[in-house]
Parts: sequence; structure tokens; C-alpha cells
Amino acid sequence: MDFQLPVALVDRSDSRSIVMAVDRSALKRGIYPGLPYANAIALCPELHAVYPHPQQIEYVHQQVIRHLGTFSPKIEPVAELPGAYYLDVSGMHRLEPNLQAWAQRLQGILQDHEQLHAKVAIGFTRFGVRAAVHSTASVVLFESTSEEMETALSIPLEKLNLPSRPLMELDKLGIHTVGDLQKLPEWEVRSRFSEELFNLMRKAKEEDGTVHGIRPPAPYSAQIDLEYAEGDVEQILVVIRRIWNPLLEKMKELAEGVSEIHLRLTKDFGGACNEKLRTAKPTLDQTTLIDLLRLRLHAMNLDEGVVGISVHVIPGVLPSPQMDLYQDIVKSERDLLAANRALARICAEFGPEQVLRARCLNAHLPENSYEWEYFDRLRNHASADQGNAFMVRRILDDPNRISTPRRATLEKVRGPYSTTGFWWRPIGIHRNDYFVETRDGCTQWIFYDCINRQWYERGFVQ
Amino acid sequence: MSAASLYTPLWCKSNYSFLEGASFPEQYVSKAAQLGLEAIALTDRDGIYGIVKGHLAAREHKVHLIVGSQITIKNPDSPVSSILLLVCNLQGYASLCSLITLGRRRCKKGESEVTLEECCLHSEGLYAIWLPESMAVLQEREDTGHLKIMKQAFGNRFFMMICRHKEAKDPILEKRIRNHAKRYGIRTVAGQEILYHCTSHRPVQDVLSCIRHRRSLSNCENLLKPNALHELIGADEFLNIFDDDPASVQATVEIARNCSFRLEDVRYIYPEEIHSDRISVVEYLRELTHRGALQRYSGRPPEAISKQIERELQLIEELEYASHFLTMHRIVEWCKQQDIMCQGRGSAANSAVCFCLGITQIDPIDMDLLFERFLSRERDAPPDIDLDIEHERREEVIQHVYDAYGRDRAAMVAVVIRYRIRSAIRDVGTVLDIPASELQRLSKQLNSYGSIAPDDFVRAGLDPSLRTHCLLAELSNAIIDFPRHLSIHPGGFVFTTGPIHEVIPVENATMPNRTVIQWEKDDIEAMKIFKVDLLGLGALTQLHRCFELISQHRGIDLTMNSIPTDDEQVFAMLQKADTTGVFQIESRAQMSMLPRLKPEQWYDLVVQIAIVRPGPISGGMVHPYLRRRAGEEAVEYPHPCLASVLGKTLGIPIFQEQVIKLAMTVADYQPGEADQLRRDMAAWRRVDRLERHREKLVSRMVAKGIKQKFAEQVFDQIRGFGEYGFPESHSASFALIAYAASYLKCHYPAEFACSLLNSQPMGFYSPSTIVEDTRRHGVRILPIDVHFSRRDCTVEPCRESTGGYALRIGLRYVKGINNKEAKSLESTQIAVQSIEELMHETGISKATVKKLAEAGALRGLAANRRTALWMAHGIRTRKEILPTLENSTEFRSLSLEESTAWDYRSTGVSSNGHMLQHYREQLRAQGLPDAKTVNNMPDGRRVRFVGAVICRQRPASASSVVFMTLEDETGFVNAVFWPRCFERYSTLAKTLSLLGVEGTLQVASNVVHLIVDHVWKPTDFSLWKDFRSRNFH
Repeated sequence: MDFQLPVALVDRSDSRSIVMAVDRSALKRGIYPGLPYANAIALCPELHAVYPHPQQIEYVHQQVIRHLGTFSPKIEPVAELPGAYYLDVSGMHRLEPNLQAWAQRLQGILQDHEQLHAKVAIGFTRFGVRAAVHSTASVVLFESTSEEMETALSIPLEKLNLPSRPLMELDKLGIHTVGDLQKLPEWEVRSRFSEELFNLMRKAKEEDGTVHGIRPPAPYSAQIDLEYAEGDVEQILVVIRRIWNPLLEKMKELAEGVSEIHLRLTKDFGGACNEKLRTAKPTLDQTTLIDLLRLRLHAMNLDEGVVGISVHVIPGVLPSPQMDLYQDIVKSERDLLAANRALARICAEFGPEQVLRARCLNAHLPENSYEWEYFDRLRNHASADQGNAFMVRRILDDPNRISTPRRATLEKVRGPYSTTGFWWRPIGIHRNDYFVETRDGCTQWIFYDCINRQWYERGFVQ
Repeated sequence: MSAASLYTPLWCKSNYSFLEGASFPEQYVSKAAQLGLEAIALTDRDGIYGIVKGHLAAREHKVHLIVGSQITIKNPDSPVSSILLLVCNLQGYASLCSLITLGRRRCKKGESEVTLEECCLHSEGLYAIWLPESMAVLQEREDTGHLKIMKQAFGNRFFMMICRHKEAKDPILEKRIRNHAKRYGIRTVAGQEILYHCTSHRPVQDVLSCIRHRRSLSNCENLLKPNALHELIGADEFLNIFDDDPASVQATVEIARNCSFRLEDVRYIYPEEIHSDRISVVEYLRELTHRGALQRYSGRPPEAISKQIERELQLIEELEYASHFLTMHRIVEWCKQQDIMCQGRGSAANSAVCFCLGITQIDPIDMDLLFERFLSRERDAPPDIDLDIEHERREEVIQHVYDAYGRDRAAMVAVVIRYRIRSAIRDVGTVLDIPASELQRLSKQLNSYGSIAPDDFVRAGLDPSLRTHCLLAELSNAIIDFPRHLSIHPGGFVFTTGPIHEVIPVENATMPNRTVIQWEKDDIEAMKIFKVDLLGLGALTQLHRCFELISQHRGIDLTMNSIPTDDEQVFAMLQKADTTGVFQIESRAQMSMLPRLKPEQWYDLVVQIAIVRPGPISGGMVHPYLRRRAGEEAVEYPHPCLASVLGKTLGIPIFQEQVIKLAMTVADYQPGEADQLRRDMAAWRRVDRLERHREKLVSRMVAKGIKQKFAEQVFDQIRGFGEYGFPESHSASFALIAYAASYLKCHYPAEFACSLLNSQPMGFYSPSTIVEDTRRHGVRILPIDVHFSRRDCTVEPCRESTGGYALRIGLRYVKGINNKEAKSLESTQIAVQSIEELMHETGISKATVKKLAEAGALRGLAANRRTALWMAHGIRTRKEILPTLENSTEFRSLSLEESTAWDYRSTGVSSNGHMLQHYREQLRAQGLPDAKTVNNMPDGRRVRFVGAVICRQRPASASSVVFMTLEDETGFVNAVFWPRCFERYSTLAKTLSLLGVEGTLQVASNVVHLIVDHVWKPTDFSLWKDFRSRNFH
């Protein structure tokens, strides 16, 4: 089988997808980004389409940004062309007299570290370099604006990732390149086709070469390096209070409150602790915030001492104080706020993973019929039926292997409840579940795995 | 008492519950017989679609089949539930059918709902069983009254079912059921929801469920059954499950015994036709027939016909079929009144009564046709009368039939749409989360019929060893032939005396104003229910239109009867195989046969149509017949008694009637045996049915002194016919139309092509091929022009054109224009001066104006097509405030080659000629000849040729040989691909619309074939796209 087939990345998993990126083999067959997949498959029936997970794309994007950051202080992703970036090289000639070599080094880094093939165009305008990326040369270095313009005008429109419908219409009119398009009256194009084409014509005429760097990270962060290792919780809290005060002031101006605190403590002998705390509701109340931090810090081992503290605060909208006026009216027997404060304190002291609740799912396998979810806040649900007695059920994450239950030890058996299936997975399921009451008063949930021929305990009732 | 007689499965859903059950009804019955069960109920959801198949299997296996259905109940303010209804007696059957009809008719296709009250109103003769899944309807503690009213309506025939599928919910449900049963004094019955006959079908059932819910397996867990305990099990196993409740098990047997209804009990009576009170139906038929005979034979019917009519009428009276004939007569008369052309086809043409009633157009006495092929005492089935009607006016006839007989007495026959490999791949692949793009690529590699093999994955660039791909292949192959949904038969109608919904459930079809029964053709036949086929035939539409055009432009009033039958020019044309567009004899196989058979008279066409069929071809009859006809072989009969049977066809059996006569003459088949032979030939997919005649036929022939070798040969021929052969009468009916079409093509080529184009879709060739053929015959083709074109194609006087008329392409060929817009454009014609005026005067949309501009229909309103298109883009509607700007932008005109490409893209046809003519110089420079040159080359010459693929065929009778017709501006080249060559180049050969082929010419009797051994993709044809072939794989 030929595994060297052309491959394209597409933006969705069905036949209406758009090609986002292609490998060289596909490129040779006339497939290019922006082409509808249906057209691509018509051009190249052996084309393989891959729909990457958005997280994978984001990861690669971040990696590319990281590498590009070592070549220019300002990087701007090209909004309309995924996988393309503007880099500001103004003033670069002092550091890098040979921009050709600079471009090749950039290509080399992306090739070596990410196995990505990059094309680089260096010019004077945003439109010019963007258009030049579609030329066949690996590196394009414009010597003059006229040269750049000439190249830009010769670029086929189909390579500019434009919507396919107006592109098809222009093709019928014999308009194939940017230069052809420029010959048409701008406003007529706007009224007949699309705003995008009109913008394209405008951009093609602009001489803008500004690169807008990526937005800086959120401002609600502060950090401090301590001169000596501090192991005392109260002292650490004093430092934290000192460094985040400006942050809280700023948040106050914007009517924001703290909804989450990310704390990073660098230890004296290397290593660091990352902690995350959530408040019951967005707040600027120092006492509450410090109280939560204190609970968490006391739960930590700080014997080594801390030499660096970094605080990052996630903001949330402060609740309107007007709502307090209604408190008496809507007061219920359950004090949700108090409960949420308590939950926040538990989370702070023992970690968020200690407060979970089960969510019911519709599934046949008992262990698939629920899932644990983080539980940071109570909602105002109707109160539970007080009449029902409740039992504490312990469900084991990993079932315990047990020996074959002896019938003599069992008082009552309910089951078997047979579950078979999942035949489409590498290993299917075939097991019988039982609920048993033992003579010594225990109630157990056990099952027999018919494939492994083994008994397991899944849970029990206390 | 054996254990088997202690239990009856009462809740079985077959795959006729559409995407729910995973076994065929026959599989359930066969398994029940294996398990020794005395009875089994088939209870498909809201229907009895598979009941006839189950009934036939039950009869074969001697198992009692209980008729039933799981009915969907929807009461206001209650969730959807369902109830099981089982038929006790004939009244119960009528109740069930009526209830299903009620539910189906009020819902859109594929859905059904009745209320519990309606269910109770139809309780007579039915058992009702409350299913565990319906417990959600009942409140835990409150009494909703549902059970009470059911108990009141059904009395002791109302049960509650307890199921044990080893699910966690079972004990809770069972407890609730027992509590309710006790409270209302209802008995319980034990049962299982059976969805497949054996556990191995469980994955199929899971996949079908996913398809039904439009989910994939990965997110469908809760919609699937939790375990595989839904198979049909034996009594021992069932008794073990319910060992604590023998009374509920015993109830299954009690119910089964009381459900004594069998499908044979349904007595079908054909409705008596309307006639004068003074005389009986038979007398009325006799009167009409004699009146017709006088008309047919100018007042003096020959004695032979009178005798035949009398013989037929006696038999019709005896078999009580008079009303059936009158129905057909009534429909035909109505068609005549409405000026709708129609003609009976098939074996009805063997009947003198049908001929005299005007149903058929062939004189059976004149042609010596076998009446017994149509109707006989021994024939255990109603006569089959099919009526061909102009296809564009068939709906009028259908609606007339509904009006005339009433919707409660007439309905159309269903067709169950089944999974084929491509649809199976698409649905199963989606369920397995395989990307649509991969499925699309895989589908392209597959033939329409057959299954999928690992090689198909390799050809599609996929790894066949991947587990997902293995599952895809396995499951897709498993669901081939599974019912997917119900569709409508092309024209089959059934009529009943009483309400039809008491005989068969009726439901809505997708088409408005159509109602359809739940059984398909085979079920109808098995139940001996009369069916009338009202079939649409494009050729009749075309002939009608052509006659009208000739009358309108030339003042000549032609009809089917007035066309001279001995026109030499017509036969000369036929002998040259110049038959593109001619009904029945235009296919590539027919065209190859014409120069060899050289038809000289009308009857030769009858033979020509019948001989190019899989039956005669695989029976080895073609070549002997041609040799004898050419005088290269003596006409011999293996036995003197066969001279009368085979005389018309030079000693070679070509028609079905001859095969039957042959069996009767040389093997002494009695009429009953002969009729059985006919039916076994008709059921040609069941090879075993025909094989059982071998010994009988051969031994009897040998006993009569016929050589063993010939006897074997005769049987092979019969077997060949089993695959598909025409009755002579059917072929003769078609030959009438074929000859009329040939005459019109020969003498009125412009009108012929015009009517053919206006009757599309029909026939074998695409409009572009028809237009090219017309041009090659010297007819001028005029382009689409809003100033001159009407909706349909028209003819215009033109001295330079053959026959004095040119063909103007109609607006209907502009893709995307609807009828209303085309009609509106017709009305403006020459009056408008600008594109904007055209749009505002006609009210057509801006999009339509663009389409017209692209099609070149706005000539005269703009400098060229591009400018017209630019102007069309700039038109402002009347609602827009700003006026349309004066156009100052001019665009380059299209080249001739571009114009042709635009024509094809926007209309599918071109007045500029074939695309390849623009590349001719380029092709010639590469040493590539045109089709005309190729067809004049000698036998054995090596040839390289480039042409447009207009048709691909892989006939079953040709042992995987693929035939391809390639076209250029000068004509066709017939290419033949041997299996090895086709496999080697399958991707190119299957997908390219412009193909380069190389091979050796084979020329015999003026028939030219290019035996291909190499294929390539022609390059440098930048404008070649959007050309589609017609593939008949």
C-alpha cells in the first residue's frame, strides 16, 4: 500500500470541510489551503484528509510563537490565514545585516524543532509579504516597494484564502490575479461581490507595514523574590498582602473581584509548589482572601522555606451591593453563601479534589452511569426529601479483586445483571453484576468478569 | 407434553421493523422450527411489512405464525409508549390493519401514533399485551385509568408482560407490573423482546440502533441494549428463566392457541366494476370486446379472432376476472379522453380481449401469440396487465384512479428499499466514526451491487487490517439486503372490494397525495392479490410531443397507426445502427446487434429487442440465430414437432412463449407444469427452482427420440431465459414504439430530437449526446436566447438544416431555472431592451439573471457573456434605493472553446459543438484519430483514441467484461475492457470522464470494437470538467 499519499488538514470532519494546510505531496497536486475539501478531492482523489484536534493546533501555534519570539519582538498571527505570522523586522538590519540568512535560520529552527516547512517573505507592506508567501521561492526578499507590488499583483486570487463563491464568480469574469482585480472599480466590487474583496483591494493599495504584537498577558500578576528562605506562614501572608495590594486596587477600579488565586511558591532547595484556590464568590475582602490562603498554607509543608512568591489572580465581576437589599426578602432556610464559604474553606485547606459530587449519566455499565465532577459552589436547588433515609455508598475507583464469594456467607443475592458489549473496542465487556448481603450484615456490589474470569468488589454500603 | 409446546415467543421484531430488528422473518421461523417451537409471533413496529415472507416460511417449516404488531401509543400528556397486539381471527386482522392505517395516515412517513382509546375501539379479535417499556405511562401510586380502560375493552384478552433480560431495572419493573396486575385483575404473560434469531447478530442490532438514532457507537451506549439476551431461545431455556412463574409461561401457549388466524384466511375479492344493471359484468365485458373487435377489423372480424375472443371470455368468466379487464379498459378509455398516450405491455398483448378493448396494440392472432402465457386455468395467479403511460402525465392517471375508486379502496404497492453496499458503507462507517471523506473515497471504489473486500480498502488507500476497517467490512456486508425504509412502486396499484385498510395497512408516501400499502410486489403475488401496473414510459411522451410538433409545423397529422410500417429508409437507418435516442434499440449492445441482424421488416425488430437480453445471450442463442439468418447455417429442428414452435425464429428459441411451448411439445409438459416452469423462470434468482426441471425435461426429451446433447442444450437455454428473457408479446409492444421512433428520427430529425430533449430525463443518452447526434445528422442547433427560446426546446424553419428545421435549445436546459421563471421569460421574448428591464418585467430573481448570462441566453443585451454576468451582478432590485449604475466595464469575450465549456457547465448542452472538436488539431498532432476514422479502420489495427466517456456497463452476462462508449465530435467508439485490464486501470477507468485508451480493433459485420489494453489520463485539456457519464454497473 502506498502510504506516501497526499495529506491535507481540514477544519471539520465531514465533506463540507475546508483545507487548512497541506503537505508537499498535496501541494504538488494543486491542493492549497482555503480550498473546499470537495474540490480538493475532485482534483486529487487519493487525497487523505486529517482533522486535527483544536488543542493540537493550539499547541503547535504556541510552539511556533515561542520560536518566532527569538527572531523578533513583535509577532502577529495573520487573522485570515491560519499558520501565517507577521514579524516586525524594522531596525533588525543592525543586528542582522543579512536578512536572507536570518530567514533561513528561522526556517531551520522550525524545521529542526517542529518539523515544519516555513516560507519567509521580507518586504515593506503587510499585503506584499502575505501575497509573496504564495510564490514558489522558499525565501522572498524584496529590494524595493515596486518589486513587492509587482509580485503582489501577480498573485492568483485563489491563493489568498478568500471565500470560494466570489472567487468562482470572479474566475468566470476572467479575474484571476490581484492585478486583475485592481482594475475593477472598487465600489462596484463591493456592491457586487463581498466586503472581503473590497478590503483586499484596499489592503493591496495600502503601504502599511505595522506589526501589532500579540496581546501581553493579563495584568493581574505579581511576584517577588525573597532575600532569605521564609518558612513562617504569617510572614508569607504579609508578603503576599503587600504584593497583591496594587492588583486589588486595580480590580476595584474595574468593579472586579478575585474569583481564583494561582499561587506559586519557589522553594529554597529547588522545586516549586503550585496551588489554586477559588473563592465562594468574586470578592475583594482581604480578610476572606487571606483566610483562604492561610488555610491552604497551613496544609502545606513549608519547612524548606520559600524564596520566591508569584501570585496570579483571575478576576470575576463583583456582585452588585444592591442585591443585598433583597437578602431579607429572599432569605431561605439554607444559607447558600455560608455553605459556599465553607466549601471554599474546605477546598483551601484540603485541595479542590476533595470536594466532588456525582453526576448521573445514561449508560449501561454501572461504573459508567455516573462521573465525578468538581463542586465549588452550591446552587439553590429544591431541598431534598427529608423523609428518605439515606445510606452512605462507597464506590471504588478501581475495583478490588476478591476471591469467589462462598454461597454460605451470603444472606441475599440480587442479580446477575448481565452486561455484554463494547465489541467495537479492542477488548469487549462481558460481566455479571450482583448486589449481595452477607451474613455479617454487609451489603456489597460485586461482579464477575467473564472475560478475565475474576470476581471483583466495586463498592459497598456503610 | 414436550417442553417446546410449553412456550411461544410472542414479541419478535424482524428487520422489517426498519433499523430495529436484526434478523429476517424467515430466519426467525427457521430457527423456531429448529428449536421445535410450534408457533411464533411476528410483531414488527407499527406494521406488518414482513408478515407475508414470514407466512411463506412458516408454511414451509410447518410453524404457526401469529400475526401481530407493536403499536406506538401517544396519549395527550403522556410519554410515548407501545403495546403489543396479536391477531386471534379474521376480524382481529382487519382491526389491526385499520389501527395501523389510522396511526400511519395521520403522521408523516416513517412515523405512527394512536391513542389508547383508539386502540380500545379496535379491540375486537385482538389480544393486547402491556409491555414493560410502557410502565413509564403509569404512575407509581396514582391510577391513570389506562389499565382500566384496556381491561374493559379487551377483557380476558388483556395481559401484562414480564420480561427478564438480566437488566438491573427488571426486578423493579416486574414488581410494579405485578402490583398493577393484581390491582386490576390482569393476568401476566412471560416474554422476551426478541430482536435477532441468534446472538451473532447482536452487533448488527447495535449498529442498526445507532443508524436509527443517528448516533455513533461511541456516544450511543444508553440507546443500545445492555446485553445480548435478545435472541430467540428454546423452550427449556425460557422455562428456566421463569421457573418461579409457570402460569405466565403457560399464558404464552394459551394466547398462541387462541390466535388461530392464518394469513390464508384473508380472502381477497377484486372489486366489481361499474356496469349497467341490466347485464352482468361478464356480459358487459363481452359487449365491449365485440364492439372493439368490430372497430379493430373494420366491422368484419376474422373467424379466428372471434373464436379466440370467445375462448378467452369463457375462461375469464370461469376465473371471475372480468372486472379486472374492465378496470384496465376504464383507465385506458379515460386516458384516451384526456389525450394521454398509453399502451398495454407484457403478456397482456397475448390476449385478443385486451387487443379488442384497446388495452394493447398487438393482434395476437396475427402474430400467433400464446394466450396461455397470459391466462390459463392452471395458472395459479391473476393475469398481469401492465399499462405504459406517458411518463409526464402518469400522475394525472394515478390521481384519477384514486378519485375513481376512492382512497379507501385503492392504494399503491410499496417497494422496500434495502441496503446495498454503498449505502451500508455510508451508514455503518458513520456509526463507527470513520471520517466521511474516507467513506466517500471507499464508496467510489465499489460497484453498486456485491460486497466489500479487503482489496477495495487497499484501492482506496486505506489499511484493510485496521480493526475499524475490518468491522466496517464485516458489518456492512452483514446488513446488505436489510430493509432500510419503505418507498413506492413505480406504478403498482391494488384495489379491493371493501376498505383496503382492512386487508393491508396503508400509509402515506413521501409524495403528496400518494398512499401506499405495506407490502411489496412479491407479497401481493404470494397473497394472490390483483395488481395493476400503471407505468410511466418516456418514449410515449416523446412520440406524443413529436406528433404534435410535426402537426404544428408541417400540418401532417401522424399517429402510431398511420405510420407506414415498410419504410425502406427507416430499415436502412436501422441496419447502420443509427439509433441514438430510439426507444429500446439505442443501447450499445442493441446498436452492435443491428448491423448483424439487419432488420428488414417490423417483426425483425421484435426479434432484435428480445434477442439482446441476458436470457438469450447466456443461453447461447444469439450467434446461431445470426448465422441462420445470414444463411451461413442450415435451419434445423432437433425434432419435427418443433418446427411449428420455433419456425418464426429459425429453429432457435428466443421468446419465453417458445420455451414454454417447447416444454409442452417435446417434454409433454402439462399446462400446469408449463405454468410452474414459467413462474420458476420468473424467479430467476432462485436457481434451485429451475434446476428441478432439468431431470424431467431432459429425460422426457430423450424418451421422445431427441439426442441427449440437444436436450441438455435446450435446458441450458431455458436456464438462460430464467435469467431474463422477453415474452414475444412484450417485445412486440415495444417494437411498435421503437419502429415509430425510428420513423420519426429518420424523416423528422429536428422534431425527433426536440421532442426527445423535451421529454428528458429518459432513455440511454444524456442531452449533450442527443444534441451532438442531431448535429451530425445535419440539423442546425440554435443557442438558448431569451429573445427566441421558449421553456421547452423548439424547432424553427431553417433552409440549411436537414429536414428544413433547426433545433432551438429551450430555457429548461439552463440549470437552476424553475418552470415558473421559464414561463415568465417566454412571455417577454423580443420586447426587452436591457438586462435590468428583463429582470423587472419578468420578476425573475437576480440569481436567475446570472444563470442566463452564463448560459449565453442574454445575447443582444450585453456585449458578451462576461459583461452580461458583470451587469447581472450589478442589477439593483426595485426595493433598493440606488439606481443601477451605467456599466462602463468591459470584459474579454470568451473563446469558442470557453463558450462551449460554459455551455456545458450552465446547460449541459452546447450549440457550439462537442468539446473535443476544439482540441482536434492538438489531438491530431499527437497522432490520435477521431471516432469516425477509427470506425473505418480495418480489423486488427492498433489504435490510440481519446474520447468522452458517455457510458460504462458491466453486464452480468458478460463475465466481468466492461463495455465503455467513448464519444467525440464525429461519433462513438465502443471500447471493451477485459477484466484484467479493467482491474489494472480501475481507478482511471472508473473515475475519468475524458479517457485515453489504446488497443486493437476488432471489426466484424460492420461492428467495430476497440479491445483496450492500455489506459491513460489525457492532459492539457484545461477546460475539460463537469462532464458526467451514465454508468450502469
